[in-house]
Amino acid sequence: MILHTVNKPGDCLSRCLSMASQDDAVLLIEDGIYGAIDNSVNQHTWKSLPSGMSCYALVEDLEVRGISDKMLPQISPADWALFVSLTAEYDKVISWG
Amino acid sequence: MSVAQSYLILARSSPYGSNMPKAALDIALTAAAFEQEVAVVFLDNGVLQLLPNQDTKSSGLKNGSKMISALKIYEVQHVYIHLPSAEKSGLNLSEVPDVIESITDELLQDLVSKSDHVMVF
Repeated sequence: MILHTVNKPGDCLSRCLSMASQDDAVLLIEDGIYGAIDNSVNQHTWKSLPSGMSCYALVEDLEVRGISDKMLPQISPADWALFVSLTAEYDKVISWG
Repeated sequence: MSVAQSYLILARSSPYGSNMPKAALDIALTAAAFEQEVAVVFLDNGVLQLLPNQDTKSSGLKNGSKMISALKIYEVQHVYIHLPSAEKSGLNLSEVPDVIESITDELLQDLVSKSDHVMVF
């Protein structure tokens, strides 16, 4: 059980998703947030995602970047409290950047 | 430190564009010096760190590829090149130093899940 945090979009996110398995979680933060926008590139990137995997994006970063209402449906907003509890819940954290 | 932990260093950055490659080597060498189990995997643009014939004489930059060849001497247990990344970059495995083992997607995923700490550079 790994929590993957991703702070850049593009190949960084793709690499993370290629390494993640079903019981892992992915949390998008900082510029990684742009990987949550509902567009064709991201739809393709997230297509191969293991089913049942939890995907989050940090609310503060979503709001700052103005994309709270443009998110892919499989990604849920996460506040700081959830971020903290995720880091406690999962065995380890990998920071992709 | 009494109990050794396993550290997996994922080197994803090209060699001269940032200080990430140096940071990866520093962490690997430091952990190995403290008798931790260390493995380094070069993947994505990181495989470019393994290109032969890197010549830094005229640039004044430090040539990190020499250090990579020496990692095992400093007790870094495993140094791998990620095969799919090597293929993507057109890097021929015969070009990389002999001490570097190759690793598939499947084995890398296994290594990621088994390591106590995974760090991405």
